[in-house]
Amino acid sequence: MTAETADQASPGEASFRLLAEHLPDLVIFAFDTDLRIWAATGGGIPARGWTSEEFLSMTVPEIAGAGRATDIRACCEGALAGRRTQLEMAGYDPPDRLWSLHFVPLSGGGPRGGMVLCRDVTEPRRAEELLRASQRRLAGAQRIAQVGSWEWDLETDALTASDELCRLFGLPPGIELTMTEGVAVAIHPADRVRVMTALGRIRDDPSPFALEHRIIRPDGEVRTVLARGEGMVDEDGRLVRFIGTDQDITDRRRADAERRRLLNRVYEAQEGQDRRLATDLHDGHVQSLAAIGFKLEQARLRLGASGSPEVDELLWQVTKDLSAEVTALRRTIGRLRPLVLVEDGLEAALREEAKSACNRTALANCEVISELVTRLDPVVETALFRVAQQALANVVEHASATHAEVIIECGAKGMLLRVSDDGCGFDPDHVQVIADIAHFGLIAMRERVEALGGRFRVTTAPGQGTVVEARLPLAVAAEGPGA
Amino acid sequence: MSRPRLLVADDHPMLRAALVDLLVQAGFEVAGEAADGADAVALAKELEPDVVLMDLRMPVLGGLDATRLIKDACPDIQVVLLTAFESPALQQQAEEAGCFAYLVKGCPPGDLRLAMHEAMAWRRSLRPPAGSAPLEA
Repeated sequence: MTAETADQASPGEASFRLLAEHLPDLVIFAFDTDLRIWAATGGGIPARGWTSEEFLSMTVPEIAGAGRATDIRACCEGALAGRRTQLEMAGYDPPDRLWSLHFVPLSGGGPRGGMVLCRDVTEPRRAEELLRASQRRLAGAQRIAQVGSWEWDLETDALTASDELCRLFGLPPGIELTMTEGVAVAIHPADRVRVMTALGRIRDDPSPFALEHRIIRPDGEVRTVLARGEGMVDEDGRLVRFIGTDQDITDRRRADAERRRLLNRVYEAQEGQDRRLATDLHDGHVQSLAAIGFKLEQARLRLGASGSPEVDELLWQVTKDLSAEVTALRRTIGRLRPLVLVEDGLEAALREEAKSACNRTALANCEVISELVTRLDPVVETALFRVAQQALANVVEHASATHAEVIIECGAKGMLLRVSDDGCGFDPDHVQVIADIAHFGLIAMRERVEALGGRFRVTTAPGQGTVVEARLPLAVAAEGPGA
Repeated sequence: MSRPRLLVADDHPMLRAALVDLLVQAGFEVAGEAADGADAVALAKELEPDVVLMDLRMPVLGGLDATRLIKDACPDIQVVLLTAFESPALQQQAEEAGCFAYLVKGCPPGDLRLAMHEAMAWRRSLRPPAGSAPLEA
């Protein structure tokens, strides 16, 4: 159909030509039984600076060039035989364009032939490819990070899961589940009630949430995941769905547990070494020094009135100095192996430590308030005692406090040790303090608590006193780090 | 008045020897020596000393348990505990076990002699020596 013949076209053909000419990505060729083009139209022709006339002397395969001429010829012959076919080919000019060609028989009362509808699909294909690449990158990133994403429709309860989420849960990609079914299928039975309770709570609250729980894969493997998400509201402000991610943190949790196990072994070894050293000092050196002291006193008594006052004074002074050294050695032993902790437990040991703190500084009083009713695991008792001991040592050496308090609270979730004072405090962010933090023993205290799966916190500010808190989960507090 | 009779119980030979020498020098009679708590109990029953100078940590039987057994068998015998551990909780346990005094190793030797004399005086106030008139008389 050329410009010369357009006036003779039917109203339907005229409308079609008008439409085609307004579609900038469309070119239509009509060809005869020799595959020679006898009409060329469509908005794609002027849009690319072509003219209809330049195609009229060509056959359809010639447009495609040698590379695709055979395919094009087959499609054209198919159209002549009444078949509809489609193929895509690189551009005619410029070559970086991608065209989708639809070959259809030319029906109607005219001469036998066919028609090729050519549509420039470069941009849609690029967009699709970009989308696919983006999806591949997202899937790759999710796979590497072991993060799957999900969407939960609150109205239908439908759960849409990414492929990585399905892989993480051991479910087939694209599986259709409701959230209720998903919880029943995948959540670890011990965590199911907690997860359902959390889901019930967030249904009315679009705020971001995070929830750690275990899952059981169909092969029986238990993994730990961290679910994060937040609610989405519609234009009326109604909470309609949640979107979020589940991250597999099993390896991280295992590494944490291993780190805690190793730290506990370090502390147990250190405590064992301290105990052995204390025993050696107690059974050997303290006894020998005490014996030497008694022998000196015996010598002084033997000299009696016959000795010179100077010698007597000297012996008395040596005996006194030796006595002071033995006392210091006994205190060292007490720090290495707090006997009262072993024999009477944490509360008694804390009371002695508090009393000792008062004796060593201007501290007016140091109260111990304890909710403990039974002995704890020895490892836990030792850890908490060491934390309190270090905290009180800091009070004595750095705080200039007049009052301090040691509290042990036992709650449903675990136990809390808190050592507080009304002293000078410090600025934990101050750069000069950072170097002293190790000196304060804060790192050691934190590691000791975290080794037991607990949390450690220091709250302080210049002039505001200091509060040191160690929280331990109930299972650990009652049964030890192996719980 | 006869010399105060003592039993010295300590598992550390050098310290035990030094204690014996010092106490003899100070005028006490050391009737016996024990190297563990069980020996101390047996010797206390056999020798019936006025005062036992008792170490806390000893093999076989500890000083506190030995004190309880001695006080059960011979309530008049006074026990002075001598230990390397300074602990209010231990001090209370020693008191509950029936110890007369709680001394810490490394204390001035004068404190030891004083404690022994006080224990001796208390012992004599409880049971006047044979042949003497009762205190009430």
